[in-house]
Amino acid sequence: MTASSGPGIALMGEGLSYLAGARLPSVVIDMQRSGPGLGNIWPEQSDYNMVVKGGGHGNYHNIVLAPGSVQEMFDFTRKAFTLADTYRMTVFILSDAYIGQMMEPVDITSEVLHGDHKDWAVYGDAASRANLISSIYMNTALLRAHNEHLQEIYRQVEQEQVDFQQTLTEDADVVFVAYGIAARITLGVVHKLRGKGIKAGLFRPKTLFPFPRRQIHDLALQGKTLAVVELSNGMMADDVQLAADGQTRILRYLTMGGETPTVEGLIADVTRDLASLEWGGGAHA
Amino acid sequence: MLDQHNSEQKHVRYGKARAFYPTFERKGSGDLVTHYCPGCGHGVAQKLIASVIDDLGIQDRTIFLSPVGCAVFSYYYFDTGNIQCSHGRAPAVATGVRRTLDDAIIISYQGDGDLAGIGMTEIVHAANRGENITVIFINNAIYGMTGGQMAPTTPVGRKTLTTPFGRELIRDGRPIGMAELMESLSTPVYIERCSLATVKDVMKTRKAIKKGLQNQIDHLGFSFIEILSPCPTNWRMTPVQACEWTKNELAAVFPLKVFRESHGKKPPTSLITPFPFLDDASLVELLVNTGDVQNEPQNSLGITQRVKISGFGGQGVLSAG
Repeated sequence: MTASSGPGIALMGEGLSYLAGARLPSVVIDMQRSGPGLGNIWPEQSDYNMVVKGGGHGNYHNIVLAPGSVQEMFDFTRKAFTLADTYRMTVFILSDAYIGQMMEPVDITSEVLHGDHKDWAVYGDAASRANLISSIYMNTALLRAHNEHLQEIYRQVEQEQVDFQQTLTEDADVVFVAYGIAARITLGVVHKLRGKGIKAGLFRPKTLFPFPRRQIHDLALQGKTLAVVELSNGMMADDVQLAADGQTRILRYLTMGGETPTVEGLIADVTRDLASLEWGGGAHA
Repeated sequence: MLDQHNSEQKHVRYGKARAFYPTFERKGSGDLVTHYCPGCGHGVAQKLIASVIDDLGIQDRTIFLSPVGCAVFSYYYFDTGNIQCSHGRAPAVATGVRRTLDDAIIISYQGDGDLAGIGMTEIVHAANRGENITVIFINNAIYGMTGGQMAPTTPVGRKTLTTPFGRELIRDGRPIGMAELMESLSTPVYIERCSLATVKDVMKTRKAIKKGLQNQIDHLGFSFIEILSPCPTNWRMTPVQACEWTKNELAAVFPLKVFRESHGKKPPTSLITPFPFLDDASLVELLVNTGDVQNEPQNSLGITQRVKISGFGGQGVLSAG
């Protein structure tokens, strides 16, 4: 297990690729700060592409968990170790500088988990002497088979591990999509909009890989407007747009540089854009 | 019984070491020979390592760390636990293995591009931490696998693919003496530079490897064995010329000597004391009790209070603004 913020994770890119190639279970925590470069230490969600899409070279994925509270930071970290062992993959906790420094009560289970003995590992004993940990396959046919096997594992993860939380989405006309600190802010927006008579809901992905594509596609099919609130230039919004596949309008509320949107500011922007849509206007870009 | 033992010894001494696979199945075609070029020092150095593993009876405990470079395929040959590391990171992997497995014998094997180039950080910090590992550093003063480019260890004036008119002091700096650099650190217990140029050198190198591994078995700490090694292919020489050049030219730049030897003396206890073991009960106590902070109602303050909240970066002081 290791932890860092964007610059550190970027440095680890080569190693992350090796971990994927050698199928070594690992847990990595990324507390996102602002970039590019040294940027600053306030939160952004701009490591999304680096972490969710891989970060290193090669055809691989990480499992990416996105906690929205301190309790989830604890629960997801425990879960991350189990997932890493189950699939022999790297599991990321992708959080941000605000969630990372938040103080909240946490229920801590007293049960301590232990990993099993691994038949593939190198233990420095007679039983594991024949084992080799490596990511090199000079034979192209073997490397192709290895890559295809990895993709099978990722497909299995996509079938088994999608996780999300829906709040008031059922009758909603506009469904916000947000994770981490952005989801915390957006939840306030949802309740205030409801108070104003606008049927708003929140869809919060808890896993970014696997991404809840099917669920977002279903919301889009129901004709709900999707509004992405994100502290980046729209990295997750692009995935939401892919999942929606042209079935609905996508609004984007993007903040960069370490600032976070205010509940009031978002309400003003959203009501303006929804009114504009009613008048037949185009989507806010 | 005695005869059988003797014949086995004889086999090891003159034949293939038991720490090598009888045939190199992982290699595929040509499974009786290595992939190294004729006259290459890697084959000799690895044969010495395998025979020393036999001598010390540590085959089951040994984990061999392959670098990136010509020795990337060392796991074809060593019938030991094997990990193939990313470029330059073998000492970091060795550190991870050391912290996880108390009894493993870890051989961190690297070339000069890997160790003195891209992996300079890892080797310096592993050495400075005094990790109980054995580092075998093959110095052939060139990047071999990629076709003969200048390495950090290439002598001044030496022609390579990337220095067609010779390495220039002003442009390219001097070759890095890794054994000398290791000597500047207080933690390594054993530092020696050997060579594979002559039979005598080869036998001295075998002794050095044995010493380095014995140090690890005895939990003495970090051993660093630099081996000057011929690379006839990329030096554009015959194997015989390459041995001559190693002896006459390379050893002039990189003098052969014992830089440090602990003579079985243990380093200060503080260097070898393992981390205290955190068992389940103490882990639960550490985590669970942190939530039991009492909230006591406070009397409200009579006058206006000014509160400054700082420490955003986790550093206790908000120094960024």
